[in-house]
Amino acid sequence: MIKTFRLAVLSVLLITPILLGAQTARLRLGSVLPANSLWDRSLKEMANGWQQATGGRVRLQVRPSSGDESTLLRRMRMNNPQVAALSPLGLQEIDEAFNVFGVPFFFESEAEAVQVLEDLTPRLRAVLAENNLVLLNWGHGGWAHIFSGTSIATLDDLRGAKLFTSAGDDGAVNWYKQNGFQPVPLALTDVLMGLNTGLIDAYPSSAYSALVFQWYRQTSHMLDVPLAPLFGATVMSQRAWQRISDADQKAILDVAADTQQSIFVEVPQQDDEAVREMKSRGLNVIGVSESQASALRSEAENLTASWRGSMVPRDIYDAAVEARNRYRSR
Amino acid sequence: MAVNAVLPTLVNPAVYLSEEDPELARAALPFLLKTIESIIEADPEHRDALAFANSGFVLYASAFLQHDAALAEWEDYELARDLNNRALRMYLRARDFGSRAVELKHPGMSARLVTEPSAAVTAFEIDDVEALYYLGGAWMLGISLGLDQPALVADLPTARALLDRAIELDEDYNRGSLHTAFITLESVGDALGGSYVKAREHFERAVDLSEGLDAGPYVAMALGVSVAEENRQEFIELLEAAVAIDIEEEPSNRLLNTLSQQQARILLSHVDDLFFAPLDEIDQDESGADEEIQ
Repeated sequence: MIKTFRLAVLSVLLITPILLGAQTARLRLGSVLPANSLWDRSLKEMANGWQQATGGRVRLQVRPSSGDESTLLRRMRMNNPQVAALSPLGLQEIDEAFNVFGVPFFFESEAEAVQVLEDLTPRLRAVLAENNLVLLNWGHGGWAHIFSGTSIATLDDLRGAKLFTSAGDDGAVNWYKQNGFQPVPLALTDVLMGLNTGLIDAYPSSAYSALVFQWYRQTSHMLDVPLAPLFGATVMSQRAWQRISDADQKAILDVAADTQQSIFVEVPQQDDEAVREMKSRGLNVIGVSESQASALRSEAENLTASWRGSMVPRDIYDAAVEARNRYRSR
Repeated sequence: MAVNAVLPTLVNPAVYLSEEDPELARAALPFLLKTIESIIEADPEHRDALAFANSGFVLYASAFLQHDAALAEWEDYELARDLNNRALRMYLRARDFGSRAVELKHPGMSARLVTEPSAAVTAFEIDDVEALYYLGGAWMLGISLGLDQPALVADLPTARALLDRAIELDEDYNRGSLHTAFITLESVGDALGGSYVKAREHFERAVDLSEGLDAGPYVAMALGVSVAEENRQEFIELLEAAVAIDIEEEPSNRLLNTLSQQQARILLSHVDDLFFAPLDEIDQDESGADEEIQ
């Protein structure tokens, strides 16, 4: 009798929307990020924050190093895991709109890129929603810089290098080829081998990645003009999201916003420290004058204009240019 | 002189490693470690004391702090975080003692290890293997807990070179302990220069050298390779094999086997948390079988 009563109560809890707040959702987060990295730590802090902010109703278990992102996205589409922290590559796999942050030398500064990210957030949130995903917060992987075996200070210098590009990104490979560069598409796991064998001698990377993967030991130069920001995102499947009460959804988003704020401060600091460490071990940071940087960006802008409509949807590209110009004219 | 006479008795590692009661070892080690630090303070060039401080702090940090963190992380994130932070600091303390010991025997080595690790380690010989194991181990374990600290991460080649040299000189050191360390080292994935194939080879050798009586390689393999390869069945089999080891068949390794078995049992109870459902078996209906709603 008692057992029957309990089952009846359980059924009511499961089907009554008004009581959703009393449910416990045990969710899992997958990511390619390594355990004990700054990102992994931040995600675990966020998970802890969710649990506290929802009175234990929403529990998130963070699983680092969850294989490759393509597989992770396949799993997510089946709601297992329900949450993922995605890199720019993962986001680009979802939709070309996210290529907008990968346009080479498009942004001049962190503040400018962050402003454009903020301005584009409603559009990008909608893009994710079309893919049954809810944007929880933006992630930050630092800024990609060009690392190379010999000094590179201009686009012509870069044309002389065997440049690593991500395998599968055919659009970028073709664009590089059409503009006189020598792209070498490789899996991320093959970069070290590529550097050791001479298959590549230049690659775009954040300072931290160049350090942790030890790539910088084969490439002793870094161009001190940032190539592109590496913005990622934490997303939840809509299916899981809809099972969380409105109040808990708000609590989750508040904590996620705090996490974003922290990571956007800490990651650039981590990259600065990585550069200092690499410099102390022989890395040459190739500085250019303001006019040289402007010339480089101007030339790049002419070349990357073709991304509009081919690699980045026109409306997103135009919105980014508009937001960027608005920021510059302030 | 008096210290020199009593030190070998005072710091006999076998007494700790063969302890059947982990709580006794946990309670006793801090006092011993502080005593050793006192000896070092009085005699900063006491090589044996420095070497013991290196190995003792590694043991304390891994067997108790990091071990406890691994158990706590399922239920209490803040406790796990604090324990891991303490473990990191202990590993770095261990590393610094180990570096000082090595420096006494090989003057100039500390600097060379950082600037040219691969060349520097060729100066070590077979009687240095234990020092390499504990120094490289402390360094590597510290880095693994401090991946958010670029200054630490930058020393990855140093830690790796120390352990590479150790296994090159004496691959069957301590009945396969180096191979067990290399299971974890090779489990970092291809991008970081690791290899799951090599991890499996080290596992086979570690089990072989320990005659299957060390639970450590089973747990290292399950956590490092089986989880990464989403091999749930192998994970369970490895941990069940670790739990099945009769600890009394290898009394000299009672402490670590007891702790490894404890960890194996906890991991077995969290299989569903560690593995995603197989892609071809995920229930796609609306019941949300993969998402626990209570």
